[in-house]
Amino acid sequence: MGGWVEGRIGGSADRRIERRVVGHRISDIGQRVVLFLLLTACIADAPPDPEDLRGALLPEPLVGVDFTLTATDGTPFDFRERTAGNTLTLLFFGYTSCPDICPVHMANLAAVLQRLPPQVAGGVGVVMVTVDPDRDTPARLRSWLDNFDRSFVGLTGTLDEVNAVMRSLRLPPAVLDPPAEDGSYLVGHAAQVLVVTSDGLLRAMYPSGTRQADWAHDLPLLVRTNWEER
Amino acid sequence: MNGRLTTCVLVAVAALGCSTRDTPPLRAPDATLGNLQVFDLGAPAPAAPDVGALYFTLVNTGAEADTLTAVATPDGTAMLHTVVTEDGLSRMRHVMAIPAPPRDTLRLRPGGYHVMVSNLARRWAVGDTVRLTLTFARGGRLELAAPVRTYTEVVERLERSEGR
Repeated sequence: MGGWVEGRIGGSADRRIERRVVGHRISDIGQRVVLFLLLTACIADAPPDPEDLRGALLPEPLVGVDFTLTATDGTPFDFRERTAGNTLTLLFFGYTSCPDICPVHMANLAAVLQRLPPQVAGGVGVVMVTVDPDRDTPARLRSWLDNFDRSFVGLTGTLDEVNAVMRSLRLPPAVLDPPAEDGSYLVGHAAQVLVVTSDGLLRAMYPSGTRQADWAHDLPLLVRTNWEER
Repeated sequence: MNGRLTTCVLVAVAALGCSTRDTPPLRAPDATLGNLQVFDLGAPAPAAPDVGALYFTLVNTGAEADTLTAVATPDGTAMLHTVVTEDGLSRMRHVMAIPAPPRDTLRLRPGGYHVMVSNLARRWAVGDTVRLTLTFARGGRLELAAPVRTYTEVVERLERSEGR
């Protein structure tokens, strides 16, 4: 378990502290933890029944979530390599001038990950790729993500590069609407959050409108699934 | 006597218990204009420096349909928007009006109708108040003061109001 906790990309300071606190309390609540681990071990291998999930499990996982874009610190980010340590990576394509879908997805994920037990939240990484690279400078994207969770990874590339990644995931490429008089414009984009497992396979999708309760229900199920058996 | 009193108290407690479980708590609207009531009004503190959104639930208790035709705020350019998804692509669309049917509830919520405010003149922070004017075809103008809350709080209030 420590493996994927450590391997999680840029875990937030808050959650690290939470993990340490939990560590200190283990002696006090040892019995409950042992019981929890036993229960988890008993059901760890059961793949989720699609009927039990609020999100959409793909009938067949999609191979090839494998691309390199640029992180907000300017370094290349090899998605496959850098997220292999996460049990799950939640991948989203959006933009910071988006007032509705994008910030709500990020706010919901941040709120739910803060509340879930560290055994679940510690294995989940969040990566957002901008579909508006002209306006979303690395600094703007970083500052926007920091409003939600400092551990969320932001990636940029040219619009062609980003669209190529989206096409490889069978998502429609982003479309820039004609600018208004003041020069501002909206971007049409696939609005679902993609669930990628540590083996780089795309397993499930969560549409815009997914509620915090839906995430809180599904994430523990998704994290404890033995995906290799599917 | 004592026995009857005890029975009465038990029945009363049981009835109270039932009523609190079965009936949603009565809430005072944030604002009222004739038959139109506004609930759950809130603006999330934006993550971007220049763009924000406002959400609310509008209940038309009257027998006449009305239409929300305009929104305005001194803080920036306000527009009515909706989200349209076609062929896997979600896009925001500027709408000129939103119907408020009689005895029905209109929800401005994430992923659907919302007020988008661009060119923000000031960045809304939690605790701020945003002035918002709604204009209705029948009802006229309604001046609102929207509290700025975290995204999480705004979303949770809207979800609670939908009973989900």
